[in-house]
Amino acid sequence: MSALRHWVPALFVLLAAYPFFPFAEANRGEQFTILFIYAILALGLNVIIGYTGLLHLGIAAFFGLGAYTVGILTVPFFPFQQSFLVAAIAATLFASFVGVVTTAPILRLRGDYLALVTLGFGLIALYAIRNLDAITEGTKGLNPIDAGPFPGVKENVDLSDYQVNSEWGIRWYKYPYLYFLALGVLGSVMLFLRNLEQSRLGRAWVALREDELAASCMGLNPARLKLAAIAIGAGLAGLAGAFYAMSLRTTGNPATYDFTLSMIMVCCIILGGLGNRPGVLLGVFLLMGFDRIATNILDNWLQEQLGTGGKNYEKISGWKLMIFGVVLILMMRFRPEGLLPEARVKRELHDEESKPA
Amino acid sequence: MSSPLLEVTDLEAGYGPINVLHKLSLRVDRGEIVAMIGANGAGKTTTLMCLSGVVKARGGKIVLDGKDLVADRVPAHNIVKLGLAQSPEGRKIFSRLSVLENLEMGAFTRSDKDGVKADIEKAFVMFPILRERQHQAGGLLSGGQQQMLAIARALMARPKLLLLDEPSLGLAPQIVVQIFDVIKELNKQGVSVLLVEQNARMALKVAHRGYVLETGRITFTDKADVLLNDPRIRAAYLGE
Repeated sequence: MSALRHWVPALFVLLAAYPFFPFAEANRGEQFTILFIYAILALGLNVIIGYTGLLHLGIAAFFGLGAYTVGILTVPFFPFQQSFLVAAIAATLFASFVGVVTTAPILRLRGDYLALVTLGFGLIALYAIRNLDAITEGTKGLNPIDAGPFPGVKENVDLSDYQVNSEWGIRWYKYPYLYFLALGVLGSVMLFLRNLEQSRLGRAWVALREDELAASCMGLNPARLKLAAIAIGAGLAGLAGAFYAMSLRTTGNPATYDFTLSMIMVCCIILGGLGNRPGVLLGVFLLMGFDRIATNILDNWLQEQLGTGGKNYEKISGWKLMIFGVVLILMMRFRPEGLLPEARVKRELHDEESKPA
Repeated sequence: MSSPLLEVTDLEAGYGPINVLHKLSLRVDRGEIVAMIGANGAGKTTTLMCLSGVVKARGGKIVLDGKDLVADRVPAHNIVKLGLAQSPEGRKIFSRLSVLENLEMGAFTRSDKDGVKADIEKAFVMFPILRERQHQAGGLLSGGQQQMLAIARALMARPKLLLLDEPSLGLAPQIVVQIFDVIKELNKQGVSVLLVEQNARMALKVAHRGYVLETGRITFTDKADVLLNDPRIRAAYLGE
């Protein structure tokens, strides 16, 4: 394992180099960008579920809030016309604020009860987005989102001097520029969370997750700690949502932000290893990579092999959810701690030899 | 004689519609070990939780070192700073944190890094087994070791008053003796202790004074050796 210890920085270097390889394709790169965005979302959720132990099942709502904040602040339909930088900061802060406000009244709930209320919150947010036509344009979504990157920079800033490949676009929200930006932000989030884990706050979260009663006997303030976790987690989800809307140039159909997304994110972090940053990254890349990229490739390959039309049962994507389910069941049976568990969990589950009689 | 370290007057507390503590009063002087004994459900743990602020008092006074925790509505996380630390019932070790991390969590409210380091060293001297196993998960310690860790963790806050809730719970008799030796030793070093126990005999042997709690009321209080020899206490709590 020791040779693999530095796989995360290595992966980041590889991904940063990807657009410079001759086999790089703009389509694939755009799919990768989406993966980076989902990774930011999952890392945010991991702060709430993994570090602090609050089973939140409505993270997609914050993702949606982030996306719609960017939509509202940038589309021609509204008078704001802000740059992406301003809109993304607003999206982060707004999602964080809504997270704190909606969680403050339910802080006393634990475990399953908290999960149910957050699930309800996710559904309410989704229906609110869908039905507030006057603001969100309902199922049409807000578009086109083509803001400039910074205040005072027009959206069609000419990046042709920085072209990696002459066939690719020169708009900043196109591959590879947004790709680099999303990758950079993901890397920064990883570093930020690493520092956070080692901070007083990070250790306090873990103590709270382990035993709330003991934690309050130690002088920790559970309410404030939980709100801090939600503020950071929801904020990261909002940031991810901002990037999502920017990369698609629309907020898309509100159904994008439904319960399924929350659930898949929970699956990603459980698959990868609850509470462990690199594990979460791996979980997202595997699960969302399979969902978004591998199924496409496999579908095309199967069609070539079979030479028949695309009936749903002839596509891997038609079996996608079943494959997810089977993988999760197998994981729970054989490796409940996830692919790359947090050191603490591993220590507890696999320290048999030193266990006292 | 200076004012008592802890003076509780007419404390009322409970859960939902049920009042558990009825006008409970008790006192812990500086340098004392005070034992509180009583049957299941008498309200022993509720009393300690109330003192720690985890359960809110509904009435009465809790004066710690001259400060009324009830009237001033001091929240649980600030009570530790005022010098009261609890080792809760059932030990409540952070089982996935290492022994060392558990100790560090005990010092969460402190910001003097060097002092914390020195106190961890002191804990290791007092409980050598914790030094040996400092990098293991707390949950992997045996019951007795976990109890030692729980006490050491509470001490990391440098409390003036240490609350111990059932330190003998689920431990072998030999280990119980060890734990009580530690309590006596701590007391010699100047820590006042409020000890809640079902093991009345052990508790009264180490304590200076004792309280008997029955359905939320103090029914007896006296010097510990007097209680130990009181025929009613012997019949009800010492199994004679």
